[in-house]
Amino acid sequence: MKSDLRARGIALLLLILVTSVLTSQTRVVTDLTEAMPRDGLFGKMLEDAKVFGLLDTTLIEIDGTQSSPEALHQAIDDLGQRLSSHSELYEVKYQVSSTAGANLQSAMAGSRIALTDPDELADLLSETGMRQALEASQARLSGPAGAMFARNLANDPLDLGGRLAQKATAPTKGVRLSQGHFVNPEGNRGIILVHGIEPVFGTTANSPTITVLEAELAKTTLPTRWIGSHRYAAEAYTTIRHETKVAVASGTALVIAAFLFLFRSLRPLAGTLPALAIGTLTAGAAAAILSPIHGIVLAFGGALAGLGVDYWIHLYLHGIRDGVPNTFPERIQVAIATLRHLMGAYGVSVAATCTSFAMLATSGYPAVADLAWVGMGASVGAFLSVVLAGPLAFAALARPDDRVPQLPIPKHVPGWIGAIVAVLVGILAVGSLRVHFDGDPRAMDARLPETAALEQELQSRWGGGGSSALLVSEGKTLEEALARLAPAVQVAAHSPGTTVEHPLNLLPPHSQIAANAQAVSDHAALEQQFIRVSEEVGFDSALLLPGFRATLATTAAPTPETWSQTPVSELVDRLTAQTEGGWAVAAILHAPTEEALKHTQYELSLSGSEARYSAPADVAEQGADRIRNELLTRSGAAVALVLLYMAFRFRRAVPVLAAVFPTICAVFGTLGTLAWLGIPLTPASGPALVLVVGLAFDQGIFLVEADHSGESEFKASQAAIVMALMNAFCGFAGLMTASHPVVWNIGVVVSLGIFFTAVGAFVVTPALLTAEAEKVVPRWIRRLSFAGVSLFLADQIAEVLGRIDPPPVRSFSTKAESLSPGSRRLGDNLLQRHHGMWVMKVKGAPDEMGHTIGELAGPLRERNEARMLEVFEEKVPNPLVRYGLIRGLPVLGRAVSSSIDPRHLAELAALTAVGQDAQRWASTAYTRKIFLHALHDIGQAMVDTPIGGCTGFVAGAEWTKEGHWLLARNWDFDGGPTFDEDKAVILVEGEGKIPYVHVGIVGLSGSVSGINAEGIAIGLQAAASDAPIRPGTPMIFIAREILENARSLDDVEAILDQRRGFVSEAILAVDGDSGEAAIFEVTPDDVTRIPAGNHLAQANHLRGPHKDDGLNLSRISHGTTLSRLTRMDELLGQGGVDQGLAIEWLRDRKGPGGLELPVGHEGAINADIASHGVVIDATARTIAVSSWPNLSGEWVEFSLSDLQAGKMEGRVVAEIDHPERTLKMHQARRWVQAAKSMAPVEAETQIRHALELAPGHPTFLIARARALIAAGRSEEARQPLEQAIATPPERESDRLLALELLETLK
Amino acid sequence: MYAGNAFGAAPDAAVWAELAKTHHLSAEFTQTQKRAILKKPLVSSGTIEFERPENLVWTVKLPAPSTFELHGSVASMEFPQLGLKERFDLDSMPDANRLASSLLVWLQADPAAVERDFTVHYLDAPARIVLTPKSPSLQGLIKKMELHVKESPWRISGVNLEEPSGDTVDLAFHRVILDGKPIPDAP
Repeated sequence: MKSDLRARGIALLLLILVTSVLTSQTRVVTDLTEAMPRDGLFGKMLEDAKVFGLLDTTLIEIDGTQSSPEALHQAIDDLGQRLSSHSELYEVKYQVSSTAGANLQSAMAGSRIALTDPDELADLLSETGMRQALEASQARLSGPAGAMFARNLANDPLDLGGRLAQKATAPTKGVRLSQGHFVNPEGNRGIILVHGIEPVFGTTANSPTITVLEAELAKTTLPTRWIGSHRYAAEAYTTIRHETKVAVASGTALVIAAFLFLFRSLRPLAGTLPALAIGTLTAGAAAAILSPIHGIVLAFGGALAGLGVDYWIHLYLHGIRDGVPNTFPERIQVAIATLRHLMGAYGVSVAATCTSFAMLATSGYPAVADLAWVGMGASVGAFLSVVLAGPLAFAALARPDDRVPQLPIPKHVPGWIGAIVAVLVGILAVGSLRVHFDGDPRAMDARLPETAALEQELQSRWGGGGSSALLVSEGKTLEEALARLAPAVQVAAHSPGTTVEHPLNLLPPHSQIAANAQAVSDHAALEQQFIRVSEEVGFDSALLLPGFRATLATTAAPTPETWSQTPVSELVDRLTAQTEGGWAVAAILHAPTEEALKHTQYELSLSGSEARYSAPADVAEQGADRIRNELLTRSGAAVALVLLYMAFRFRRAVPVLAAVFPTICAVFGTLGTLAWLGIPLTPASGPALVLVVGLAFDQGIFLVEADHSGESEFKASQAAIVMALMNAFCGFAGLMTASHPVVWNIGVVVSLGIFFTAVGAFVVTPALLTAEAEKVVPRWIRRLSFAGVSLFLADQIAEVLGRIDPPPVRSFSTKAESLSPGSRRLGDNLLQRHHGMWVMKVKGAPDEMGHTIGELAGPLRERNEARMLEVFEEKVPNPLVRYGLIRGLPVLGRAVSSSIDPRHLAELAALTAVGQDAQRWASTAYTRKIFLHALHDIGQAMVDTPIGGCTGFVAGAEWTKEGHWLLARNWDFDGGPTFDEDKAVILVEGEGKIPYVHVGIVGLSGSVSGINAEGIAIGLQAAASDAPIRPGTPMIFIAREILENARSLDDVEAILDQRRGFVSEAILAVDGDSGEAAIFEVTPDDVTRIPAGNHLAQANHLRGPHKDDGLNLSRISHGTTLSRLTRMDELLGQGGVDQGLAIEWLRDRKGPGGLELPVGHEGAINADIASHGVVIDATARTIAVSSWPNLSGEWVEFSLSDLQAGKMEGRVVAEIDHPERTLKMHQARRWVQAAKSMAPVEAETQIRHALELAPGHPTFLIARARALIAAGRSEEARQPLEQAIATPPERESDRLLALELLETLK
Repeated sequence: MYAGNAFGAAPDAAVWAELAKTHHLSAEFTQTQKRAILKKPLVSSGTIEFERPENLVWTVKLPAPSTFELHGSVASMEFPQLGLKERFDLDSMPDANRLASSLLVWLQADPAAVERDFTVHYLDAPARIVLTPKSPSLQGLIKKMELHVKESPWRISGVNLEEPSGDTVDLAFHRVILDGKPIPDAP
């Protein structure tokens, strides 16, 4: 025994010596990018963010409101100079020098032609353009600055330099220059922009970037404040550090308390010290070998050092279970015997843990791979600590009166209890599929509340805020990189709400330079034209000609050096970078909301742009995706291997299942609970869950090992498990008190994991072992199998009952040709993306058209359906209700299909026969398609309300400017973003049918707004009546039937009378040829034709025979229809309408009487909810369509004849109209919706932020008041309620609610 | 009160103090430019409005409408027919700044600024003042500026500006309103 002890002692000393030496060599880095992968898209995106400084610009504001402008300028200069002196830390932009303008002019002098936008140059060189330019110069001469312009005129007669300088120095929104300083419009606050050289990721409160900045700010005579990523990073570091310290301290105290409570002694706790020390040293040694290693890896690695503690606890409790001898040698003998007895469990446990970590070691994330190696070091250390130091520690610490704590945990658990728990875990496992893996840095926002408030204030003042992204392209040369960037910038700049900061105005691609040089190559002709025009305008051409000639020669390509002494040098430096492989150039996209950026990203993807798009959120999401994928694949492999070990060890299925069940409970119980509570898993808590998995494996293995060794051993194992879990819980539970979301999230995830490990270890595993002993397992397997098969069969029967069989259609082999991501062709049939919408033309027999649409749509079909599914899940959050609807509604759809025109069914059948079906699990594609087309009617029938509201009018003859017959309407259909962002203008030329164009989405065969070649235009607007609902043809198919067949309003009436449908509807109809308009009120009972005369407006209520129906009256008094109709009547009453005015009215945001309403008020015609707006000129056969977002994007006119001729581009007839207002409104709605599931305090904050985006919105004001009352701040609720009532509220029910709430405040 | 020197004599520097009494000035103007680059004189007309210390709105109505505004160091120009609107900081545009100084010098009538930037000659009655720029940079824009001053009350009735190139700009003011009080045009 002595020799055995000596050998252990020597081995232990050697181990400590070697690992200590190695550990001392560990080098630690703090830059988080060192922990991230460098390969793949994620690596590139991360590199982009670093290179182009997307993350590290700091804004300093100097407050001069209490001082003179001179004092403010002086303070800016002083601070700017002091910060500039720290050139190793900052690049500072605080002043534009007085010679900057002249420098800029001088820099661009030789490249004026090269720098001019080609389209602008072409305009300028045309006779008209030249004349306009010279007349502008003459107009300038007439002003007081004439002398200055006169001098310039001789050198640059077309003022190219002036135009370019204007563009290059165009002030940013909210910022102007005052004596060369960046100030606000009032001139009483200034800003300094600082680009930090130190990487953001590694910043702490003690980083020089922070300390030097704060020291310099403190010296400034005027008040200063600053925001920026360095500050956020430092705050996150400080918060995490502080809260982790608190959690560790409280965890240690809890562990001590737990040991005292269970053992009435701290001796067992002392035995954990060798385990902790050796675990730390071996983990440290592994870290040293991998050095340099990131601090975050060490932090997690430190937690792994506790693995040995579990082993010690098992050794100790198993050692004392049969009594402890009096003497040291005897205790050594007992310890060694116990160790040998437990060796099997230790072996499997270490193998399982090491296998798990070995799988993670293959991760592409340096941090995860390093952590895995550190974990393996810690596991080996844990094992060695118990083998080498365990017996000595036991002999030294165990005493004869030590007893295994008697815990009220039964060894035998009835099978039915285990089954119930297993089923519950199974339900959570299903729910775990919905767990959100959140990698967005804002979800892990560690900013202090005052910093967040400051950021919002400063960004709002200085025109920043919103979201940003980068477009990056690379090339072997700068020219190559710029050429790749140019098309992407063009697309992004055209995307509503997105502004682009890019270097292409200063470093134009060579293609532009060459094209411009070519455009001015015919000097003689241009000079002739110039002489003629300048003489005509009144200039002496002989004096201006030399300047013009000189201008034509300014075709030199500028380089980054060209701009070095100009105010734009900072921009050029920031957006161009030399890389190892050549050059990278970037454009920065700014948008008011994430939605706008996502749209831009979508348009970029459709344009086939070669530039790489990366946004901070995407960087994090990409990272999160990778971690999630790695965790899934590696964990899967690890579990498979561990199961193999267990199979070798236990030989039978039930013990293996019993051993693994704590892990199953831990993983699925935790993920399912997170999904249920809406708590995301983060890149930090994901790996933390791996720690729990290791812990859970151990407990399962020890329990199964102990099962065959009698009651006392099982009890000892249970006690050891209780201690191990308590130990881990005490270590992590403290994190749940943290304010930092990441730290808190780790605490929650690990605590849940430990709880479910305990559930598995103390309920399911014993139940399985008991059941095995009682031979009941096969019986239960049979029962469970029967139940499972029964459920599956019931589901399939429901699916079959709801399945609608498609009619037989021909089989087609033709395939669409993809010309670009945004352009596909199949014969003469086309699908193209223009102006942010799809434009499609299809023709042929019904099944042929169906096949063509399916082929042209390609991936768009899947995107549309996936997005509609998202909306379905959002509207119906309960999965059981969703399941019920998915299985139940098609049964109704089946009844509907029998009343649909067989031609339309054939089209749908052929369409759904194309391609793979990702949603087949729900029902067949054809069944879903039928249901989609009946969605509007079924929805209206079920909830008795149109999904949204619509406003429109018909007008013609003397009521329109040109006597044309117009139909204008907004389609306020709340069916999700697909109907807006992916809206399609579709020309349908059905075999033997009238060609027509309508607006919908690709794959939607019915119509809601359209016009046919015979001049019949229609628009559907939902209504309500008391007429009983009856299954019938979906209204959108009736509309299609009209467009395909009607040549007069009598035809329209006849088709409506024949079909009717099963809900009530108001149908606007115009006959452009006969000059007639009507509104048809359609109910399941009757059709009423209301002649419109030369103008009539319509919203969502009826005014014919059903005007006094209860539902109609209720809609009038409680909805927004009356407000919208009144306003439209007022506008329409003005007469003289044309396309432009109609668009203006559809965009109108006022209430009746011109009452100013807040943005997004649903009492207005334009409430930022319309999926599309159209102005149809039935006389000219044109349709003007709004492009995303809602009605704020461009309006584009399409002519039916142009589309028939394959001219798909359309013509812009109305420019974008402040899309940022609409986008902010969307964001505000999302925030208010999300606030519904928040605690009152958080909800109030969220709604307050929403009100900053949508000031004065009455529904939000009422929501805020409710949150304030719920939060116990009733007094503050009065003001928003009174404001909402005065606004007024959107609906009568809102007004009544506000009054009721006010009443409760009295 | 300064009433000029003896009848018929040239004024002196004290005239600036009289001119400076006006806080708000508005007038119509006719401007005639004779420039080598123009085939014939360019005649423009419009209104001018000045308010101390340095707010100036110069509106050209004919031949093409335009507005020039100066508020402190921020200047803006708008040409509605051309759809042009420009705004710039004079401190970063030396030429424009110098030009604005030369405009404001006679509107503000600040004797210290006048003395600092110009050599002044006071000529015949009731008053004709010739300003010659001192700094070479301003000399690059203006060779000399001749101000025509009228009395009762004291005001600038016209400006003749000569540029180094020989081009000239003649400004004549009428329908002058000083601090809300219309001043009849002299016959």
